[in-house]
Amino acid sequence: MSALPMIAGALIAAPLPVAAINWHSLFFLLFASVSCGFAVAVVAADNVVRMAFYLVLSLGATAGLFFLAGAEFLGAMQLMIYVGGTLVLLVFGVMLTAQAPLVAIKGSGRDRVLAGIVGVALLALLLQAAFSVKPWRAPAAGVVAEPAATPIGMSLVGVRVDEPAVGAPAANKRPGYMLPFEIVSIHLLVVLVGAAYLARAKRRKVPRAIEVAASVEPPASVAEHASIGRERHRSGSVLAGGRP
Amino acid sequence: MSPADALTQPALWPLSMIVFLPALVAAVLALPIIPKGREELIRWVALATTVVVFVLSLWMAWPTLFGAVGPAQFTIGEAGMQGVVKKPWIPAFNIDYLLGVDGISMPLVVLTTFLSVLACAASWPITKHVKAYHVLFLLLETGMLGVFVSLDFFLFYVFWEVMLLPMYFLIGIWGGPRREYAAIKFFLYTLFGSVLMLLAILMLYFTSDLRMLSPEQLVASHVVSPALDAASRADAVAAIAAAQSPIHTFNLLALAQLGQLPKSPFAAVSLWGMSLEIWAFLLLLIGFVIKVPVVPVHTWLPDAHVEAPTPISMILAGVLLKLGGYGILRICYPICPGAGLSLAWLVCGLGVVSMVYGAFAALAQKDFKRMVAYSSVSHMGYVMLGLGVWSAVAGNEFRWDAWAQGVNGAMFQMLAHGISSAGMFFMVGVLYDRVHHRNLEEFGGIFNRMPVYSGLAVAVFFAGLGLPGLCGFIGEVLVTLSSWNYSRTLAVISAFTVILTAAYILWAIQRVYLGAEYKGPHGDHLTPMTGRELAIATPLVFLAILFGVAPQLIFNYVTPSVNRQVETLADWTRDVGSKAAQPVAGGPPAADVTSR
Amino acid sequence: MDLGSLLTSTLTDTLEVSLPLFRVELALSATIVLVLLCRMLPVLRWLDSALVALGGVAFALWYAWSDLRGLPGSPWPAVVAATHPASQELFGGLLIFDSLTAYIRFLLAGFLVLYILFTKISGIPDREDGADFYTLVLGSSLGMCLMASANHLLMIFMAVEMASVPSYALAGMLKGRKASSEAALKYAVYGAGAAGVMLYGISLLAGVLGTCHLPSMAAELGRIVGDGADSFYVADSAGPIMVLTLGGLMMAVGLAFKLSAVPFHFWCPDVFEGAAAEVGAFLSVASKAAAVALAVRVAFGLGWLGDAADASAAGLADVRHFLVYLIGLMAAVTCTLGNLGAYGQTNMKRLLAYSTIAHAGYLLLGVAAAVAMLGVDPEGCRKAVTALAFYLGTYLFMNLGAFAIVAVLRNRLRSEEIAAYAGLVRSNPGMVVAAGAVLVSLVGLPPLAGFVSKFLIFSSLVEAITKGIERPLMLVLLVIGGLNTVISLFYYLRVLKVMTFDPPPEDRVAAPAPVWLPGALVTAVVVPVVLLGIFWSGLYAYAQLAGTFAS
Repeated sequence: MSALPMIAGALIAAPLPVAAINWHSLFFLLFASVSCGFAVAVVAADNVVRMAFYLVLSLGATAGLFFLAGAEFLGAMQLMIYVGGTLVLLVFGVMLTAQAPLVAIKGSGRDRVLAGIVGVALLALLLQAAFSVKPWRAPAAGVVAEPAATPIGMSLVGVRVDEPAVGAPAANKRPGYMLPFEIVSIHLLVVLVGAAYLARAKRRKVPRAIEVAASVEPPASVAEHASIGRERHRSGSVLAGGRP
Repeated sequence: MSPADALTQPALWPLSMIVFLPALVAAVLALPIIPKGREELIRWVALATTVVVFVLSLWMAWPTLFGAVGPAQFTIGEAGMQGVVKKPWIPAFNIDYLLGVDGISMPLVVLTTFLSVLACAASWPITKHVKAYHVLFLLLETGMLGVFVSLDFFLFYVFWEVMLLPMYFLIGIWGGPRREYAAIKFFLYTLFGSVLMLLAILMLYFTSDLRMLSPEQLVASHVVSPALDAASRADAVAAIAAAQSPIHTFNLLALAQLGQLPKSPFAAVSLWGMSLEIWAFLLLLIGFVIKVPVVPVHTWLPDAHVEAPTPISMILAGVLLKLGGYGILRICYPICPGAGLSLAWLVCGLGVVSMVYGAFAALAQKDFKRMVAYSSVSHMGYVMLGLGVWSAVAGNEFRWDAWAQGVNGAMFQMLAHGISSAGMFFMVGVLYDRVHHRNLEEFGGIFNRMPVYSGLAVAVFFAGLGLPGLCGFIGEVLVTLSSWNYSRTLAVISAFTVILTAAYILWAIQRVYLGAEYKGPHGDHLTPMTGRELAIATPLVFLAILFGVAPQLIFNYVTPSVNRQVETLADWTRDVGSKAAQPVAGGPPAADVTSR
Repeated sequence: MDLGSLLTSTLTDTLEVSLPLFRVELALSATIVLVLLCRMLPVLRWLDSALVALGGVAFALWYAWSDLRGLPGSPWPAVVAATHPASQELFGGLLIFDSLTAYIRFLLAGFLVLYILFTKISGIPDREDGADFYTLVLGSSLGMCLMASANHLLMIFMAVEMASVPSYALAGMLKGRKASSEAALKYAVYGAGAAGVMLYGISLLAGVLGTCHLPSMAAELGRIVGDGADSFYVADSAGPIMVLTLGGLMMAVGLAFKLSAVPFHFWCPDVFEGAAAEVGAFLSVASKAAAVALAVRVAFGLGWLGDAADASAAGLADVRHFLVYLIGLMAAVTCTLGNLGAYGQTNMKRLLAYSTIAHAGYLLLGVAAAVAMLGVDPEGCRKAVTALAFYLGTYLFMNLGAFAIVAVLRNRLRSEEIAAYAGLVRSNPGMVVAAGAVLVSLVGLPPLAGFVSKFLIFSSLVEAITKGIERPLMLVLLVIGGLNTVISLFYYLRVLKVMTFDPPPEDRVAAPAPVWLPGALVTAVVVPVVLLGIFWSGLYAYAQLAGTFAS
């Protein structure tokens, strides 16, 4: 991605005034429009497989935005984890499960209107919020020269070697991030165990107690009562927790 | 109990036993050690427990009956709190296990234990789930007795609520056709009132401050135990006075002292325009009048009384209604006298409205039991009127002898109504057990079939009517007379209500007992009263006549405490409450009230 | 500073200061590893994973208990020689150890011990699934311990995720049942959405305030909100107020999800109905306790600077005012809608889910009172936190008892519908008495523990009213709390009514041979509900210790 500006510059450097073009803004606009445009396309598309593909493009463009902001580590992580990991998983899942009825997902007209209203309201709120903080409106000073990976790595071991931010109060604590680093590993272990449990085949040596219990039908009087309850729930309002 | 306790708190075991023995026996009965089928045993054990508690309460209240008079027993003629038991319970909140009796609560305790014996005896016909019934019954008795003797507001509230759940089950399982509706209605109404009471309790607690009381007041309200020697008393008083932050209290006597201070802490805080005193009085009043009950929050009572089984109706009408009146007398007025003064019109008005409404509603009933239920509403209206006339300021002077007469009348009315309404419900129950209906239109000629029963029943109903010579008359006449100074109109209305009362009771007697012959269903089941029923009815009739002829027996207990409380509040009114009023010179001597 | 001294200071801080106060979490982590090892090595397969888990959790309980007793101001002598400081930041400021941390860890460890016994007796999970189940439970509890001690936005997010994600899998434990899978999916999707919104809010807050460390954020916040002083990032102070509000609200979304506060409670009834009763017990007790502790941490962390009284104090008063109204409004709506939602329920677990929502509302009332008195009246604030701690203690027994009864009755009656409990008093009178005690305690009637808890919460509100602190709001909250107590009576009593009044169905499956163990368990959990209603000074003393951090 970073080779592109150089190639483009080399190709059109001769006839065009290269120095006059603000390459940073150009690439920002490019990545931003790709990112937002394909995000809209994800929502607007009907076909699940196409949605997945548009998502790949949108997240990839977001990685480009990170690179432009000088956070190469974050950009690299975005590409590795989101595009490389999560999205490949998503595409595999869609491939394996997308049957004929699921390939096309249509939202009803009413849902679209409601979602549109909520989305536009949220967008207006967030734009207002973003623009109301003055320093966020100024463009970034430029790409920071020193690589950010080393301070991040050191802080994950517990040692903060980066400089404190300019003007920050001296009393502000700057903790090392070893604890989150280690705790996350335990968290991943637990989550892996949970995922493995859920994904395991259902054949068991001994049936579970609840399965033995559930195989016996509840008394008829109770089942009748329960079905009446469920009927009532079906028509209940969402606010009362009934299924709409 | 340590030897020290035997000297300083002689009433510890007697009072605690009176309150908790029924609960202990209930816990033992609830265990699965009694095999199924031994229902007679359970009934006799429960009856024996109620008799033991009754005898204990008699021992405390009427010492000369048993010979020796010890320190734990009640001294007639003494006005203050007797037999005070104090043990720390929750030090973090200054909550104590504080019990005590005086002239107001002692007769009510004896009434409760007496009616519990009769109701337990009347529970013999109950055949389903006998064990559960008696367990709940005994728990109910503990709750009722606990309310009457507790002097700590938190403890009072706990006992007040303990009664609700057993009553819910007693009505809901052993009651009539609409029992579930009646039970839940009773519970919801009472719980609503209780929650309002809790808010008032908390508000009073957090604005109270023991540092504002003088040493004499601290000792008098048992914050500092009077049984300590002078040195430790002085130390305790000094410790309280030296505290840096306010010391809050739940002690009812101390709260009353605080409420009657010239600069009462409760009148100092103001919420949305009204002082905290008025808010607390209103919240507590709502909680108590739901129990009394007073129109318009009385609608739970006809359903609950009608659907409950006979013995539970007896307890409901005989005891539970009195809890409301007791609460107003013991709590509302002493702690919030200013509010009592300003809102006297509300209390009296509610009383008179209940009286008249209850009487008219009773006149319209076709169900015998429902008629008796509405008559309870009407009779308790007299109690409200008698209590409310308390703060009466007539013209430029207030007459505290009229106050005393009103409150004495209200107390007597509570006790007399306990006897007469329990009797009325029992009589209705006797009839219902035989013919299984309560329709007034289909009765008649019971006198011919069951002469003894009819004689006793008519006597009880006349007591409810307020016939002179029977117990119902004294309370009504004293209340009516006392309200004359407060408001001529209300006095005239309450006198007229006597006519209405006579109307519905006489009409009911005529429809049920008089007449040529009984033409209703199950006529062949009209057997004479059994020995058990006679044993229950006779004491009630006897007491109705006794207290009607010799009311002094009750007034000996009641009047000293009532007069002392009224006099204290009269002094408060003169000094603090109403600057313009002057007291009537002297006031009557204490024992003279009933000679009018 | 050069690298050498940085390394030394990090090592010292970790080994000498932080890890000794981190023993509970270390014990839980070691237990997770041991439980998994047991299943992995064939030579250890004969060992029941429940026993291993129980042993590990017992160790954690011991550590938690000695931490609690070692606090300054503790009325008991310290179990280990050294006592702890009153308040100590761990790992450079990421976590904080104080009385609230110690109390919540103690509560969670104690709950885990009872819980493992409960799951062993009720039969779910069985031996085969046990290792997975207990790993997930312990992992989630680890996250909950971190929630109670979080002092840094990163740790808040991490802890919430650590506590939530394993419970997504727990909700789907019963693999063969459609309701269970549906519950897990709903929970996961809802949780992911809430976490995303919370993270957005966290990023906004961190961006404006320039730091993620709660006390530093509070100082910055006070400067921005209070006298409009130039904060180091923001030249113009009028703008950020809106961003800060937005960030705070978004963060509140995540916290409300964890607390099942309205309007982010929609996952609760479906998850409780679909998941097993055991999982419902875990979610409703442990998850709520940790969520309440986290709410207190965030509110106190952002709204108060301790004894340091400087220029930010006035600004923080405004922040607290905003927080009180936010929490108070959420509390009022939560307890009302929770109680009203329970009215039409026919499934016992769904009813208990709405009851959990309502009780979260009552707990939030206490949090609102505490934040209102924070900084203004230290004594009252301490008492409000004490009330919360006491409520969580009794809530443990009440809800564990309720779900234990549901589980035992499920095993006997093969159903979790309320109609299946009809006339239970004929055949299982002991169970009905226990259920009655638990349900009446949940309403809040004396002489049971639930009444004392509600009494303490209401007394905090009244204390604020009588001292004139946020009087209108506190009055409204008090009235709403009282009214909700009354309306909640109806649906709790309906269950009791069905058990006692209604006649038993003729086709009821006969109970299997009587086993005393479930009855013993239910008794052991329900007896404290009764005892704590009468003799509550002991637990109150512990709760008072928990409240000492707020001074």
